[in-house]
Amino acid sequence: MHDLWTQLTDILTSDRAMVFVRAAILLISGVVLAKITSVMVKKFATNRFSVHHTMILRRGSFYLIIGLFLISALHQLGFNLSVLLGAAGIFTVAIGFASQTSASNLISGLFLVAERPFTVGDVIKVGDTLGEVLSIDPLSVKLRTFDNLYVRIPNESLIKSETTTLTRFPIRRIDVKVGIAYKEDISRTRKILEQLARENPLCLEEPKPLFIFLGFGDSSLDIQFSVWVKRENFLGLLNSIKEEIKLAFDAQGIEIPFPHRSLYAGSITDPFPVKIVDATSPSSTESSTNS
Amino acid sequence: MARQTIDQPFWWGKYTLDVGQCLQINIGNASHAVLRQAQEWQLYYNMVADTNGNDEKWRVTISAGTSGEYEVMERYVYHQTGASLDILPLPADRPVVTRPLSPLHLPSGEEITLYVSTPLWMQISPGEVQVQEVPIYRPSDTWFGPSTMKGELCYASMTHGRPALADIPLRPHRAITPVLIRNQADSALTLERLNLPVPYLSLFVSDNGQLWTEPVTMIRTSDQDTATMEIGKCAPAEAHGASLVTAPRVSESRNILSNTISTLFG
Repeated sequence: MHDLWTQLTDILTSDRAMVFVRAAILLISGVVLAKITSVMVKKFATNRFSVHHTMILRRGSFYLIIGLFLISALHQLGFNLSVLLGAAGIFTVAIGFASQTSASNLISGLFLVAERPFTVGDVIKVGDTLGEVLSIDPLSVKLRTFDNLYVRIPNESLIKSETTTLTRFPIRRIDVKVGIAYKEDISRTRKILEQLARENPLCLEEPKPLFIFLGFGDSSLDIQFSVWVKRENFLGLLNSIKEEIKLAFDAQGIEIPFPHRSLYAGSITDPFPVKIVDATSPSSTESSTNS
Repeated sequence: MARQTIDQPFWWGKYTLDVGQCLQINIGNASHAVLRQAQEWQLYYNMVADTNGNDEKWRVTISAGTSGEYEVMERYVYHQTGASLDILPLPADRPVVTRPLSPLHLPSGEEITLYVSTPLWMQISPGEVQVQEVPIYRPSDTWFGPSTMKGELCYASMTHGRPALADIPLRPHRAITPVLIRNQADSALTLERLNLPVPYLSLFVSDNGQLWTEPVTMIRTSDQDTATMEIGKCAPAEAHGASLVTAPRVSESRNILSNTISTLFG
């Protein structure tokens, strides 16, 4: 027992053991210091920088400190760092071939951070996916869709595909396409729509609402009425403006037509024979059949 | 308790309500009501769009419970509500954009004073605690800037800036600001729209009950691309017997704001 104790003490007090202890202390100190720095950076940056930049600063400082302390710990353990870095280079090439997709995502992530097409908190549309950006990570961007799904989009896909940032500018335009009957007065319709926009406080007075006569449709005169709105009110006005147009047209007697079909009896000149009959008449069935 | 009309010179001021009593303030078509309960204040109002009408009539009444229909109802809960209720007018919380009746051209070296009327908010504070600010009439939003990417969100004034004060009707829900515009540049200044940063302005009441702000001087400098704005230190001379009602929302210590011309004139 005494021998075992002596051997253990010898091992623990030997230079080799002290090296391991020192390396472990360095690593633990590194982790603690990195965490403290990360918290302090977050506190410092929260009110000064955007959420995205705060996140990058926090993670950057954390991994930098961990990296430095890890290198020091390895140095303590007697690793020759130049050899280690050389080996890492060869290793990176091997890994690079094996993980081209990840590397591509990583590099795309760097471009995304540099180009900044959007930041954390923005609402973006990628393909058919629309959602709020939760984080921009080295390999992927995480979104929360409006039906509360968590979507991970690889950075490479983002770089390759068309991305729309919906929250870049403070104001947006709503385009409402509406058809009116051929008998209606276009200038009167225009005045009604402009009046409607003027009376709705959510419609911006400037830029002015846009009235475009799109053309002669199959069943209607096609019109586009566009109003500008503060970004936050977009959804509210998107619904209310259509309802208000319908109500205003009903009140002013402007017809919104449904598709019309004209029937011909097969001859260019002869009109299609139509006979109006009394619905209560006993011969109505026969008359309808004949016509 | 029957409806009791409060006889006082202005619609704002300090009111005292018993539990169950409701203060109702009607200004033109707009109606705001504040009901005191034992442990909560209830605020009722309608979002009435700003109009160009001359709604000069107002009435303050106290009654038992609320009457009428309201779109919005908000509740503020306290351990125990106090009897005191402060109602104050406030300038709008964003700049207000106004237009002259038709575009004005101001030749080099000339100046003009436009009287601009801007919409007001109502601040409701039971005791020392500020509870809510609501527009008396909801003004329309507008955008002021050189493009749809660059600029700021403002409110659009439904009234026009007028060179003659007599053309501005006196209204209890709007404040008047005399704006002196001076063109020191070599070229003429075309004035289609004017951006008035009302959050920097105080409110004064004149002896006829009209609300005013400090006068504002906007100078287009010889540089052509920049303009300076200076806010007066007291009520305008036109506001006879004026006294301060509300301090500005945003205090600007320098009192002179230098801007690019596109941030003041459109």
